[in-house]
This record gives sequence, structure tokens and C-alpha cells, in this order.
Amino acid sequence: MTTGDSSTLHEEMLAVFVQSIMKYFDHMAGIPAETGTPYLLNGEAEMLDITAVIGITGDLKGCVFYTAPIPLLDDLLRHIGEYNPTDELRCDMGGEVANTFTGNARRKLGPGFMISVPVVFLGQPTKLVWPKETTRFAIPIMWQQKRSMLIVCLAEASADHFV
Amino acid sequence: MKLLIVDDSLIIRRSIERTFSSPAFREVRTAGDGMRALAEFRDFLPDIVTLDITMPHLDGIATLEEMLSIKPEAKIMIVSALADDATAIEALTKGAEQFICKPFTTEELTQALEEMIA
Repeated sequence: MTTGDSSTLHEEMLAVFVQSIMKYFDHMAGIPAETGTPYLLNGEAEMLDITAVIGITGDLKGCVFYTAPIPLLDDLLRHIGEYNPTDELRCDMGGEVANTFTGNARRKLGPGFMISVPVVFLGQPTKLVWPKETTRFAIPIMWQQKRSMLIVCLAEASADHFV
Repeated sequence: MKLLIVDDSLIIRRSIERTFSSPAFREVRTAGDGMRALAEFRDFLPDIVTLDITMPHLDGIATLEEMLSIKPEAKIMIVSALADDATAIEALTKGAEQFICKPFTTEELTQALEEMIA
């Protein structure tokens, strides 16, 4: 992946995540998702029912959020054979989606794109601290008429981050 | 045969357990991290292991190496979201028999198992 020019970096990185998203829904459920145009996120982001966060270290630093409504997670759970959803299973599903989106991104970003295990929260956070010195992009996702979102907050590793 | 399923995700452990539900496996255990997996591995010495890589406490690559030092003939299938070639090559070089990338289908998982025990 090209580095150096930040707009090129962001464009290529977002394309990698869009590919991961498309592959996930198509391969896992056989029903393709649609992604909206990624946009720069200034200010706060709307968090949906369940949000999973993956920390990123290595060549890039920051984090990736996947936030989704409960009905979407329940649909995904049914696709893998879980017909009695609970909040524990929904949170696990949200974490697994975030893990798969970011893990699959290594196909292009390489092993220097290191990911943490997911941290998952249910409901609205009281305070969300965004990594500083990162640029935040939101990728809207529509699947089965349900909206979720991937938020990518990354910077090249030389930048200081986290307040 | 004895099967150990290792993944920090409960839904993935349950999904693999359903897929591999067969009388051929007389004992199936699960673990949610590498340390717990090694404790289970030492306790019942499974023939087949499915192993995630990104896990708390001890990652899947270190767990794989330790398991094979205990029982070199164990057959280990990595099931991971890490899709880069370098990770797959590292796992296979260190003794994994199969590398399945998430998201997986039941058919992919079953085929990989059949190839492993053939």
C-alpha cells in the first residue's frame, strides 16, 4: 500500500475496508451489502445499539469501530444458526464482525497492520475519546434494509495518538 | 477422535461445534483463549484442534507451537480473520495443517476437516 500522501493513504485504506465489508456479508450470508460513500467525520458519531472497537498498532495506529442495531445483529446470528439471540450473543456477533472486517483488511495492508481483540459495548457510551492525530472516516453500510456503520480512525504510526 | 475448539468468540465456537457435530468425535471441548486452550490440550490431548489467532492472553501462533511441542501428531486447523499471506505462511510453516479465513462457510470448514483427517 502506498504511504506518504495522506489523501492517497485514506483513499486506499477506505477501499480496503469497503472490500472487507462487501466480502463479509456476501460470503457469510450470501446476501450482498451496499456501502455508501465514505465521509469525513468531524464531531461526534451516532452510535447504534451495539458497538465493537478494535485497536490498531504497527504501521498504522488508531482504532476501528463497528456500530450496528440489534435487528441486524439478530439477522446475522440467524445466518450462523443462532435462533435465540441474547445480548451476550449480539455483543459477540458485533465483535466478530469488527474483527473480521479489520482482520481481512490485512490482505492488502499486510501483517504490519496489527489488530487487538474487540472491546464491545451495549448502548450509548457516556464519553467517547477519539484517538488524537487520526483522521476519522465513516463508511455507511446497508444490509437487509438495516443500517450499520464502520468508523475508521487511523494515522501513520509516527503520529502521537490518544489524549 | 477428540476435538478442541479454540476461539475467543462464543458464536464461532458454537458454530464450529455444530458443524463438526459427529459421532466420530467422542469428546469435544472448547476454550476462549490460548492459555485456557493449552490447559485443555494438556488435560485431554485432542487429535484435532481448530485455533483462532487473535485471542487474549496468548495468541494462536504461540499456542500452536506449544501444542505441537506437547503432541506433534495433533492436527491443527487455523480459523482466523487475518487474511494476509504472511500470517498463513507462518502458521503453516510452524505446523498447522490447514488455514481457513473468516468468514467461512460450513462447507469450507467441513472440507478442510475432511482433508486433514484423510
